[in-house]
Amino acid sequence: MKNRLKVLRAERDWSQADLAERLEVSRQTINALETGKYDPSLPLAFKIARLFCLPIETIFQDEA
Amino acid sequence: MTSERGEFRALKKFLLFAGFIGAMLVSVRVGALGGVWSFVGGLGTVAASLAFAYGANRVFRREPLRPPVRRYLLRFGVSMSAYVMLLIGATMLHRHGLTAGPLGYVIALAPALAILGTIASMGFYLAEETDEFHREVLIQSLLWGIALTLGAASIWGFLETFGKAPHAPAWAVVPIFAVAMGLSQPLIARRYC
Repeated sequence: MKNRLKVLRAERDWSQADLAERLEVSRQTINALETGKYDPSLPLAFKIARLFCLPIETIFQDEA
Repeated sequence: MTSERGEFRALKKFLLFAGFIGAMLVSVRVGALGGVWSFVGGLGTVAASLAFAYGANRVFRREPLRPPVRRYLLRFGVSMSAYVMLLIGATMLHRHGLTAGPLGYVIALAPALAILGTIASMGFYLAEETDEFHREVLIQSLLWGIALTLGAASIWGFLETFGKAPHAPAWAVVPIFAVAMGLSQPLIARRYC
């Protein structure tokens, strides 16, 4: 699933480690999410949306 | 600049795998010398596995050891060391004919108890790992470990049945499983990079 995490993170000048700390996940989780090869769980997706104050569907785009 | 850094990282990954395989081979050779060297070689294989796990965390995950991983490596290291010592000790006692009678059961089961500890340490890690991506990688690596161990055991078993391979003890499956699972973890994580 495609997402805008990398752009949103860059806009705030956060490193992967910064974002990982804010979401209480590992840096590798952020890396895997940004490549679009790993889809987050629903709770993590909501957490990401809350952190960026954006609706989930504006962060994650369903390719189907 | 980026590609240079990428090449350096690839070299570190290669050195990590090469170092692990080299350390395991040296440990096995040392262990084959017998006597006290059996214990040295045995503990060498455990130390090599722990060093590989620590190095893989640095090179592949590029983050400090997180508490669940640290607890797992500690539990695994202690129980695996105990297993190696008890296994070699029990084998030595058996060779000297000291395992006759009821005490033989205790000596025979002592390494098995330690290996149950290593299995439990994997279970604890699965229960304690809070990071969802690491859990995903862990579950996949457990499945790869199971598949490779079952495959290897089946191939060896058939070769043995048809007299093409010497007898291999059934307890070898757990160390084989641990190595297969450990090696597959960074390879699985690579798919998400």
